Amino acid sequence: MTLHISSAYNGDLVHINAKVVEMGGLCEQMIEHSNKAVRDNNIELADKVVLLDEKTDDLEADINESIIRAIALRQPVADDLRVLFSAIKISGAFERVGDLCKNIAKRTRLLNDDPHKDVRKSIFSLGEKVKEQLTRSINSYTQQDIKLAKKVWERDYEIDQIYTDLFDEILVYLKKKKRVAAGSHLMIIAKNYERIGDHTTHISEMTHFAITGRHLVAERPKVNLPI
Amino acid sequence: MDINRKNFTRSRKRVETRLKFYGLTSICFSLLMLATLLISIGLNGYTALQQAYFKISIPVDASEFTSEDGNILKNKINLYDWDGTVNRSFNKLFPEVKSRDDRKKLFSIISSNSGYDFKEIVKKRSLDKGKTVLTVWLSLSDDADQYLKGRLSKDIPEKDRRISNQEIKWVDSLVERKIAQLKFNKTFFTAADSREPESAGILGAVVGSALTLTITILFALPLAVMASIYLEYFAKPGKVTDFIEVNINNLAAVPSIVFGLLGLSVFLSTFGLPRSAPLVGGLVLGLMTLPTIIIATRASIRSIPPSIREAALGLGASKMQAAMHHVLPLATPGILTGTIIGMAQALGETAPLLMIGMVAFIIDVPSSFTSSATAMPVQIFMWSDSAERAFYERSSLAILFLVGFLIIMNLIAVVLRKKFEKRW
Amino acid sequence: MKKDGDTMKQKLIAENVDVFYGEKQAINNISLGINENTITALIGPSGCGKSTFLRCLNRMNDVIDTCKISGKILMDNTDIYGTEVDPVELRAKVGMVFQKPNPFPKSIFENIAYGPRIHGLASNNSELKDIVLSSLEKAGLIDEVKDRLDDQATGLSGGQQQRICIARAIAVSPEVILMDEPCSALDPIATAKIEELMNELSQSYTIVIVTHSMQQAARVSKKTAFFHLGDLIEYNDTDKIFTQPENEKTQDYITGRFG
Repeated sequence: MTLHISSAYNGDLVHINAKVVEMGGLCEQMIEHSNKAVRDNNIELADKVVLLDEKTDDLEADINESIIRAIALRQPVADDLRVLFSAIKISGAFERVGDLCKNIAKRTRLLNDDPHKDVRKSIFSLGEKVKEQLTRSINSYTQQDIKLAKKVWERDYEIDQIYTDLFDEILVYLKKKKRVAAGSHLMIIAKNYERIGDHTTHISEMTHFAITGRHLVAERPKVNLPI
Repeated sequence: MDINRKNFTRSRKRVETRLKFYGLTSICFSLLMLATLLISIGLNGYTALQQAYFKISIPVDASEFTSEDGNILKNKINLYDWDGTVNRSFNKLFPEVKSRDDRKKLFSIISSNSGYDFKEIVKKRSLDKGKTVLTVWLSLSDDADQYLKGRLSKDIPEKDRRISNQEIKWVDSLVERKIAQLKFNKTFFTAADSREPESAGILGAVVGSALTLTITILFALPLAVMASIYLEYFAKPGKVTDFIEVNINNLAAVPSIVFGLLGLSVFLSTFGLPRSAPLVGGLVLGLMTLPTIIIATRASIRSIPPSIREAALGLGASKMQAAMHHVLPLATPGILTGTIIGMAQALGETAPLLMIGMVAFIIDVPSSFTSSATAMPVQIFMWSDSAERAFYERSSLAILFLVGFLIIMNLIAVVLRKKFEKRW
Repeated sequence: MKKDGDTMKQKLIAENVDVFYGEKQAINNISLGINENTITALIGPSGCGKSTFLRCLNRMNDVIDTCKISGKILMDNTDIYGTEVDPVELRAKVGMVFQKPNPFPKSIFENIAYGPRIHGLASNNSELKDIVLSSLEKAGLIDEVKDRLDDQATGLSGGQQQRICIARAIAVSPEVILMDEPCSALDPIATAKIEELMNELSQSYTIVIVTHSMQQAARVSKKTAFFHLGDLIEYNDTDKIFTQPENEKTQDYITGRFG
């Protein structure tokens, strides 16, 4: 891409982009930790996730500030405007992802002494799927790859599918073991993963918009969620 | 490094000081030259402001040239023996002069135009019927005048002098009797040219110049303005326009005598216009100043911001309307300045006027554009060519006059420019 | 009430317009339609031909001798370069406001009255005065100058001078007003006033504005045309141009990447 005549403007845009990518990296790390924490009942990792969330919050604030400054000083138009606009949206999405991971981590700590091995494994595989989607959406952003972005967006239904199955599994587990508290936590953890999946879709949507100026509006495969 | 820079600065300053000094010197030099010129002309010329007059009482018999009801009869007054009357009365002041030769010498110390001058005085006064005695001041001859002004010294041997010892005695006797003295030379400002310096004046030439310049401005200004507008706004750029442009600039450099030749062959020979007339002189000088005014007018038009003209055109004004309503009024001070400078140039011009006969000896103040006339620089040229010393001082005074006119015209140009200059 | 740009009446239609200055081609084969009662902005880097194109619309280029124009410009379906069209009359219908405020160095009244006078729009002095006052009113200047109509127009502030120029253009009741960078010499407040005035005027006049300020084009215009090196690169709704330009050159220009 051609550079702007104003090098300071270029610098601002590069800075904002770097921060967004950094946020994405953090989120990847958080989701990886929470996946393992859920699977292995690893409290240490769960604590780490809680700490990392603070970092994402700080990064988001930093990004918002930089974007407001760029809008005020540079009056961006066209692709610059779209890039900044999607940077706001994407950093917001990352921040939500961070929050959800933190929530997962906190709930994991409460599951502490419970041996729900099978359910945990199932949740882990959902988490891995979500992590894969997140990674891809981040890649589509860093590499400005609309094809990849579209693929992420289209494959959201897979997560929904897994989540629906998992929902049934937990329900069965709940009925069988009569462990209402743990079951509820597991249910919400699963729901959180599903929400993260939605955010990754949003991230790739915004990536696509930043590059092309068009929203992804065509009918995409949808799964009717139980909740 | 620092020392180098300091030396460099110092040498630069030195160069600057030196150049300033050169400039100042050259200005001082030219001012000095100008002052020398003006002062020397002034010293030569200021004496022409005075003229030697003598007082004399002359008896006249008015009944010889007036009708019953007191009107002067033209044919009779011209037939009256004015010269004799004056001479006889003058002779009475020196009763010892009797012989015909001596009397002739005696009468040579008074102006040979005395009779005519006296007639003119008589014409202006209402006389009683019958005989009266008039006491009047009349001019002494130019030689007596120069002697009284101290320009003819008694130390020069008599044969080399224009005035003889006897004549000097007579003049001295008049002065002793307090009936001869230097008075303000009114004639110089009220008369036209004359063979006799004491009767010669500049008025004829001034009026001649004024008439000529009137024609010049009436002829050159409209032509120049129209030509300029055409060249600036209507002429299509191309070889023809370039050719015209180059030639206008060339025309400004053509020696003025060539314009005189043109006037001679075109206006006089082909069109048969009267010789020596301000009409022809004005046309010739008009042709000569045309390029000057065109160049000044075009520069002035070009200095008007094009945005003014665009504004008018953008409103739907035609090219001519834009030029006449907006550009010309704004360009007027510049055009006037150029015109006045052109006029000043024309005022001082001699050569072309010589070619068309405005060098003639004209004793009457010209009364119309077609009557014979001369112009100030030509008058100066003619006087400075005369043998009489008295003409020499008169030509100097006329030069001061001419220079004064030029300075006034240039001042008007400056004032006009300052006053009407618009800023936007 | 938002009108669809494509179904609106086109006031001016340029068809395959080429402009040459001597040997140099300033505009290459430009075709573009300008909607009635709309503000259309022409943007592009210096020397892109946008001013040249603007000046074609009221035949101001005729004044330049070396300028040759081919193609058609239709105004209400009449070719303004047709033989039966007099450029002087055309310019009364297509007014122009220039980059630098250029009031005549005369009184405010005379400035506005000049156009109506040369076109014979008023039969007497009171009619002329009415035209002057209503033009000043439309230009939003009446309150500022009504007590000093005899003052020199050149003594006003830059913004007021420019609005005098707009009032002067309005006074001959044009249908189209062309503006050649009308705010480039003005401060932001004066600029804002002119922009607001343009917005009001666009109710009843077709306005074409050339501007170097992309923000100005974005603020005032409904449609924007981007010119580059004599070519019309992109012509679209202004909001489209500024959020989602189709051509990369347009994008590079409006985002400040031209190099």
